[in-house]
Amino acid sequence: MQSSIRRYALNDRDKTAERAETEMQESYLKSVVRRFKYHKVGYISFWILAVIAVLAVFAPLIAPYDPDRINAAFSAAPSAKYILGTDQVGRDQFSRLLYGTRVSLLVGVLATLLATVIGVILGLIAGYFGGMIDMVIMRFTDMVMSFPYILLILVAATIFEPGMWNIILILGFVDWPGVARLVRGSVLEIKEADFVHSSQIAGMSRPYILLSDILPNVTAPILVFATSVMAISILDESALSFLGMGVQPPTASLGNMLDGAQSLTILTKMPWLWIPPGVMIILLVICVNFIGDALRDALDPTTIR
Amino acid sequence: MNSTLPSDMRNTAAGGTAGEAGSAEEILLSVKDIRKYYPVTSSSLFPGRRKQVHAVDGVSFDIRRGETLGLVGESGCGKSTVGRQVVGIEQPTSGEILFEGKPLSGMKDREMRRIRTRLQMIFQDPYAALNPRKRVYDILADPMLYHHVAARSDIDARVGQLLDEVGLPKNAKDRYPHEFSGGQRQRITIARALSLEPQIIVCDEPVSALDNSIQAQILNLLKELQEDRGLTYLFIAHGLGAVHYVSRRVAVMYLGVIVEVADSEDVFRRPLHPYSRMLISAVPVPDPSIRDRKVLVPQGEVPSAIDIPQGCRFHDRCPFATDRCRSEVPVLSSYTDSAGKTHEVACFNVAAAAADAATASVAEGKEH
Repeated sequence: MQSSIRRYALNDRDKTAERAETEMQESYLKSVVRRFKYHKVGYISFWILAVIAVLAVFAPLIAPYDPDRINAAFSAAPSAKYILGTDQVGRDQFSRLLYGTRVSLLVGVLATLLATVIGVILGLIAGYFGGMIDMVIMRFTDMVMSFPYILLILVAATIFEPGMWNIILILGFVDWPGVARLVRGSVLEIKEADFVHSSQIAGMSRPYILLSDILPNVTAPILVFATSVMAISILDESALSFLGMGVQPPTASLGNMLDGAQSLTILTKMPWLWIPPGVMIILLVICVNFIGDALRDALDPTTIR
Repeated sequence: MNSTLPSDMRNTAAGGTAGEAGSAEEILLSVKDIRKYYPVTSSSLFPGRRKQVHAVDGVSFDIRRGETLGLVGESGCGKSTVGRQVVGIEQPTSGEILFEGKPLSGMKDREMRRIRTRLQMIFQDPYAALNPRKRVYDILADPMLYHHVAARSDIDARVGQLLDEVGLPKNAKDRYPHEFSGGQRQRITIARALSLEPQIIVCDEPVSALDNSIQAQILNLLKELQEDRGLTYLFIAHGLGAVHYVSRRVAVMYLGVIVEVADSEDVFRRPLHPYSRMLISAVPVPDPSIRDRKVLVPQGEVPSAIDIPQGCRFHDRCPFATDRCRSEVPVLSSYTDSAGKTHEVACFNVAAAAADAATASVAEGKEH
């Protein structure tokens, strides 16, 4: 009798499970990649960003000139020698664009990483432990969120020396509240799931439940949210550098390259000085946002394609 | 009333009534007057007196080693909350749960958590009960490694053994939960519950989410495992057929309290509490010849668990209610049914209800 029951177990799958099975034979990662590709715009954005990132990372090898060296006439128009012309002090604009993109990407990635780590830790703690701990963390989060953060950044930038690393720290410490809220919300939902209860009944430790049961199930929304944080960080860095509070010259960043666009003559007569960095910022932000969009679809296992 | 039960589900609890082997009479789990009140969050700006949901309002029962106690009642009567308190996902507002005579407190310290692993749970929804991001291997192996139930070198063999025991192929361990059907997933949750070698398994509606053919397989598996491992079950369900099939004793719950406890066969054949009678007569019978049988439907709705009725909780829906029922709260006391079997019933009018039941069954007999 026993063996007959056990044999039945292999036949008891219903039709949806059967279909799901052929579909899910591939690993989770593979199906994510497949769904990501299905999102055409996101997929193209991914490759554009990949190319830009490669160019930026290998800027020292690709750039024709030292970005900080004064080579030629001030504000020379694009030519065969200087494909994007030179800036107001005679530095090669193309080389500066590559290095500037490098700085902007670095700021975007590191600030996002910092914000995500802080947000995830605080969100996990607030969501799982609840009560007083949750209250304190979330009110602190509200406080940081409600602060006009351009002001915060300006104050911080005047107290500390403005510069790339400080910008990363400042942006990282300002951008985490959104992540924390998102993570807390997901944790509140998942900690009532039966599989978490079963770990509790199995007497597993809290760190195990938090890191092994809950965290893996919130990574998808975190990843999606992180892309928007990254887009915002890139924009914020540009804005700050444009205001002169960000990355300091002579180091190039996309923001401080736009600095010249404050002058009317440059805006009207020398488009090579502001169009390339402007386009690059737009491209980075749009690509990052589309990738986030595609990730949202790809990571959601309920979208079946 | 006999004819209301499908014949293939009738035979099993026989023999369960007479005392089984002497050692089986040891009380393994004892629940003493547990209560669970949830505060109601008031939406008004100036809350008045704080209200509470009386989800469980003084429930006591004992489970002997190796037996299955069925806990039945309609949705919202608190039966799941009782199960969750037994395994410690929720703490009782008051009352005590004794396991092998020792009280189970919270789950704070590691020692308590280890004792608690002797009590495991199987959930209703096998889709929510398994972490979608973990392979079956990790789901089964992690708790065993954490509690040193098995050495790291033996763990592969243990996982394979567990899968075999619940009727899954060995290669299931490399797959993710979403690759399995509902019945197979329920087998995985059973394997997980077994992995820590528990003595009691709380089965919270273990088959309600499965289709009929698979329900029977899972119930049979649970019975087999009980025989093989000497497990004790607290079987919570609203599917009366399943409860009847697996349980030796049955407790009927209504609005947070137990209204009747007796051996499974006696409850299903000769329920004494008016509510039990109505619950059992509501089971549909696949027999057209008794299509017109008298089905008792209680009047009105289940009262809110926030405003519990005075006196007996069932009085405003009960056809036998008297003034006493409206003012006094009945407690469980022993009554003997027409076959001489003892039931614990919380009702003042068992005699009146029994007389009515007798005439009903006579009438039913005449129709045949």
